[in-house]
Amino acid sequence: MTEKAQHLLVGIDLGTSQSAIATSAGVREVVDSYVGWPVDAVARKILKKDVLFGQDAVDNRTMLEVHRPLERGLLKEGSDKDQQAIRELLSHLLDLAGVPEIRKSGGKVRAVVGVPAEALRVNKQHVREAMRGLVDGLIIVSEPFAVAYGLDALLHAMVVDVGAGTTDFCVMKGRYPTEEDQRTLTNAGDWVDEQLYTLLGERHPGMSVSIHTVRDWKEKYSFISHESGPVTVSIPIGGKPSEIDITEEMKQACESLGPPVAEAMLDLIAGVESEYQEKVRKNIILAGRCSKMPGFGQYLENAMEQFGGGKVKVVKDPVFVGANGGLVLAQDAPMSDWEKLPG
Amino acid sequence: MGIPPPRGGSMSAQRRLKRRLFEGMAAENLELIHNQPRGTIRRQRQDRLKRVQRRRRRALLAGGSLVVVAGVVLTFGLRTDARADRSEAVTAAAVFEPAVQAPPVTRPTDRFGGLTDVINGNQVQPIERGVIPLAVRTIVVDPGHGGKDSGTLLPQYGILEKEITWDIAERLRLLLETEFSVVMTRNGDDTVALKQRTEIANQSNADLFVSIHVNWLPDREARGFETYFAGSTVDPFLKQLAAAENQDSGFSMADTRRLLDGIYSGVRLEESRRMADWVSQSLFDTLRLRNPDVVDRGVMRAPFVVLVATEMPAVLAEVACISNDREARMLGFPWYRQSIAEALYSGIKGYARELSAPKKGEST
Repeated sequence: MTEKAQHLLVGIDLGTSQSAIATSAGVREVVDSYVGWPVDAVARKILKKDVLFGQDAVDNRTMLEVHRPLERGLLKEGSDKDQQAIRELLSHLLDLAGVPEIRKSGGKVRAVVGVPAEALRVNKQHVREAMRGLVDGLIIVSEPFAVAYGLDALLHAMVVDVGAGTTDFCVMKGRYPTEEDQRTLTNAGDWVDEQLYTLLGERHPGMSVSIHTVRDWKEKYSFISHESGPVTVSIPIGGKPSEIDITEEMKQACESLGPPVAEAMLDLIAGVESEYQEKVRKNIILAGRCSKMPGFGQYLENAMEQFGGGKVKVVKDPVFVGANGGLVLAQDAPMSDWEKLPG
Repeated sequence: MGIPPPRGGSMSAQRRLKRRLFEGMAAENLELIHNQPRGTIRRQRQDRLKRVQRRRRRALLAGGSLVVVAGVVLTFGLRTDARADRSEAVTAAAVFEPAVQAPPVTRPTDRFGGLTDVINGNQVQPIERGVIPLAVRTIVVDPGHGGKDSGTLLPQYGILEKEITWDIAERLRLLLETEFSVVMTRNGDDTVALKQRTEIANQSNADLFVSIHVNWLPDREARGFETYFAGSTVDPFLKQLAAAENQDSGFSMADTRRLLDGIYSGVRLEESRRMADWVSQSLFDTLRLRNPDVVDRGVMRAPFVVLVATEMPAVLAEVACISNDREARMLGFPWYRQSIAEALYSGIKGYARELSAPKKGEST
């Protein structure tokens, strides 16, 4: 048995909306990035838990103090509760993957955690702090780099990872990406939700739906520059459920994501040496939850047309592509690196 | 999906590529753990590489010299077979002796004119500013706010002023460290009182002090940067701004006189103004290339504690207005923060050069 086989290797994609883990033992788990603590002793007694995660937390949010610690893809600062929430979330993911048992039995666990491309250094330090003592080795990388590595797109490629909190870009030039090779926009899934929520509120001032419901609609019916059937939903207006057509609002909200993403993509391509630009244009990888938005890939291809055209490939499994990439990185990382980078 | 493997490369090329990626990844993580500025490890590696290359070049040169010497000895040896009695060893030095020798280097006599007199106290006339070139060796970089004091908020990104100032300060440190010794007033997200910051600067015998802040103005259309040096102001907004920035300064009433004396010590005030001019000009020249809408809001006096209580020329730069949507967005881009750092660096360097260059016609 080799040195690596004795240990558990882990890839984690720490996302605003969902966080995923993939391990060398074949475990794949995903959790909505919500953490909630019962507001009082009564709530604790009803819920029978000290802390709830993911959908469980969202469903019981009236009894909880709910935190979404990675708003806009960055660990919020200045709130101890958010720091605690991120540690609880990471700890929960590792629990789901059976990490504590492995460590108890003397095995070593080494993790690669993906964070937004332009996460500030302070944020990366907070993530490292949150992981302290939970694993034996820790490497923090930019999320789109993990995606690119997992897909073996190491040279003349660009990853556009459209998540909930951020859209991350990373051009692979055959080197570890520097700041100039990466970019992060806060125009992403949550931003579309906010646009849709505002547009619907303007049209139906009396509507009473939460941003969570609007998010669900976006997940089901979103589209960009794509012929879609009418989108009809039931909204309580003035206390009375009403069937309304939100096709136009959905189209407007989703399409507002296109221009900033296309602009940033083209800007990064423009920074590539001219002889390689065509290769990069023909190797754009669209990842992240919003990559499944019908017509998004086509929209980006259309944006590249006036610059000589390009090809956008949409990843098959946007939920786990980042965690899988982290796992591949963990598997390939030399032992000498792990020794230098404790958990 | 079938993402193609790296093109045009063999397996060993791919292994090399991956090794490079892992080197970069490990370096970034190590810098994070040891709280080192970005690029430190890469720079150290490059320095090591340069040293090795230098050694190799020297070795090659020495080897080459030996070959030449051997060649010369052989040639002369063969020629001198017939005149062996006259032959002498030919050294490498002889081979490389220049045909014409340079004149001997002589020490200039009192290059700075009256410097000897000044040092000996014989000269009582006002000293020209440029007569004693002053070297800038240590620069204090003060990233505004930090720890519990978050400063203002960049709402679109959920980023705090303390993060922006730290990021720019780190970039500036990297640039300055190529020529100067740099002292940071905080090393990460620490809460450091203003008094402590000035003490750090004063105790490190620094030559210059630069404080980095980000502005928030009630007029959301207002944009651009401002550069401050110590002094009193009658502008009510600046008074308010200074009061806000000076909160929890850590200074007591008893310190007032010393602080006020400090402001009005003419030389420091004048030098601070000069440095502020340099920094302001450089910010404008650099940033307008990236942000054509940038506005130079001017060089101004204000009684910020970090400017008042430091004992060296000191400036405070409000590098952008995050209350302006466009500038807030720009601040979100690393290349813009890098441009700000480069602008500050260039301004500081320009001032330092001016200070160290002998110049005539300016009296203190």
